Amino acid sequence: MTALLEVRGVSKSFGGLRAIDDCSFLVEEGSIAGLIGPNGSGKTTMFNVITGYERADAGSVLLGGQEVTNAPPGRIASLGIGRTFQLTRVFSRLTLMENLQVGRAGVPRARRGELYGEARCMDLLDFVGLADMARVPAGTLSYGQRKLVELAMVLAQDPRLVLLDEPAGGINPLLITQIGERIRELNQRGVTFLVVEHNMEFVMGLCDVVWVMERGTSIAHGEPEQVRNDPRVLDAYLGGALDEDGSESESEEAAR
Amino acid sequence: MKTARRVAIPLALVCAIGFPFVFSNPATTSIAFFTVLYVAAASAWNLFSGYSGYMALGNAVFYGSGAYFIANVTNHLNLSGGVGIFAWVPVAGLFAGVVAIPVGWLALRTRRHTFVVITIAIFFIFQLLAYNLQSVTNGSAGMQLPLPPWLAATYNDYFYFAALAAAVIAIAVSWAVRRSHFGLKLLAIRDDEDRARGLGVRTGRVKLAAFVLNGVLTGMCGAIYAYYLGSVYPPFAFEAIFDLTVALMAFLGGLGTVSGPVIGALLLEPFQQYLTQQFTAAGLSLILFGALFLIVIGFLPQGIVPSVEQLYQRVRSR
Repeated sequence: MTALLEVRGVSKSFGGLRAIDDCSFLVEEGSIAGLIGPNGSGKTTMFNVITGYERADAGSVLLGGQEVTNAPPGRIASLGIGRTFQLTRVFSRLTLMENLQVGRAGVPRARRGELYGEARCMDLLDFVGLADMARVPAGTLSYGQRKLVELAMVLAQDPRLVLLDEPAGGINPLLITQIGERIRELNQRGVTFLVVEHNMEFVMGLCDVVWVMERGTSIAHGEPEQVRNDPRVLDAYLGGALDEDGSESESEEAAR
Repeated sequence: MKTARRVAIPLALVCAIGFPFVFSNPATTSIAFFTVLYVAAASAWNLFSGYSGYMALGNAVFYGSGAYFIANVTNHLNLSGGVGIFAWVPVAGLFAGVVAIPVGWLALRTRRHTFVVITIAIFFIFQLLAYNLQSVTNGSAGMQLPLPPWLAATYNDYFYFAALAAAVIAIAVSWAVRRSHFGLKLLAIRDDEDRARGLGVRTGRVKLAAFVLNGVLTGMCGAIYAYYLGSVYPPFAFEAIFDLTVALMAFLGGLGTVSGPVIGALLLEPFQQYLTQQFTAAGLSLILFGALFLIVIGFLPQGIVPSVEQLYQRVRSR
């Protein structure tokens, strides 16, 4: 397997705060990678740097070996990286169908018809279980449903790599299961994922590899079992052992 | 809804065309002229501000640019009054569109409140220029346009039909934009501009294109207005009330809808004309107008069209 996404020594400061400090990791093509770490360890900032919403002070981001550091968000999207947001960002006064079609601008002209036909958008909404709400304004949906809309919006662009920022945060267990199933299904079709999540059960059950961030840098990585028992992780990140069920108290806090 | 529209639109057009023949009193046709002119101007404003969510309060910049353009053209080419002058109206619109490029380029670097303030500031700069650029505007002495050789009884009708043509164009363009992917991008910018950018929408270009389109349509209105008045003076061409009026009309009717600004203008402009005729002194009409603005924002924040639509949906779903 080859690295689809590679982050090399990225740093990012806000004033005096080093949000990311010489952080490196990679995501292999066709895998589902997890990115975990305590609140404030720089996970979302890392997503923002990768997708061009923030500029890195140092280091580089490579997609399939190609340098994409600090490219604007629109260009990142057209190169095949899609992302969702921790606090969902749908277009609240547009219908679900319209929400999906906004992304039409971000794909090469030749593929627009193929990707953004009414039928394919409908299929995608069906895939996330919201087909019968295609003509409803997105603002009327629940938080969990909006997360699904975001997923469909990202999928519409047919990305190679999808970054999910807390896909299971703050939504009901039934939807969590559904989102997990959808991710696995897409992964089998060849989509690579990088998932930030506080719900340990979700991460451990879903990911092939887990990277651990602390204080802006990656401190460990490996298979879920390995990471779960890594003393550095237990010590630095969890400050103690995981609960019996694999979740930790922070997940509830993050869900709120 | 669709069949209702298929009947309503041709019917409205027939009524609009027939209006000056039925109500031929010049006092009435004058009000009708201004009403139709403001249908066009409010639709133009809504095309940019209503769709994109950027509240521009400086549309008089384009109105005035169109007015001064046609005054200059008719003076320099020594044109005599007549229907032929109207051929210059679209050109005046294009000129206002060219003015809109640097104005938009500058103003659209800002967002929200800052954008509103910048558009107001640019408006005052243009008003000041109109007073001081003697060679182009003749300053506060103003400029005269050629007098049309039409009889008083039908004088207003020519302008009425010119304004009606502008209104039809503005509505048609608004409708086409609303249905296009370009329009969808504008609406996406209104809801979450950064997210739209992240999805590959070139927000800068999209906003500027809509801003310029708004400038072209508004400039056409300004040119018709100047020809109707027969003269151009800085405070009439670059009028602060114009900035507010078009916005209020769109707010009242329903921001971001095609029919909203039309309905808003149809209701408000005759009202405003009536007020100015009744209370010429003391600017009482302005105070009443301001009070109305507050009432609309307070009680009908969505505007008439969306409110009625919701009511219709609720009744139907019962």
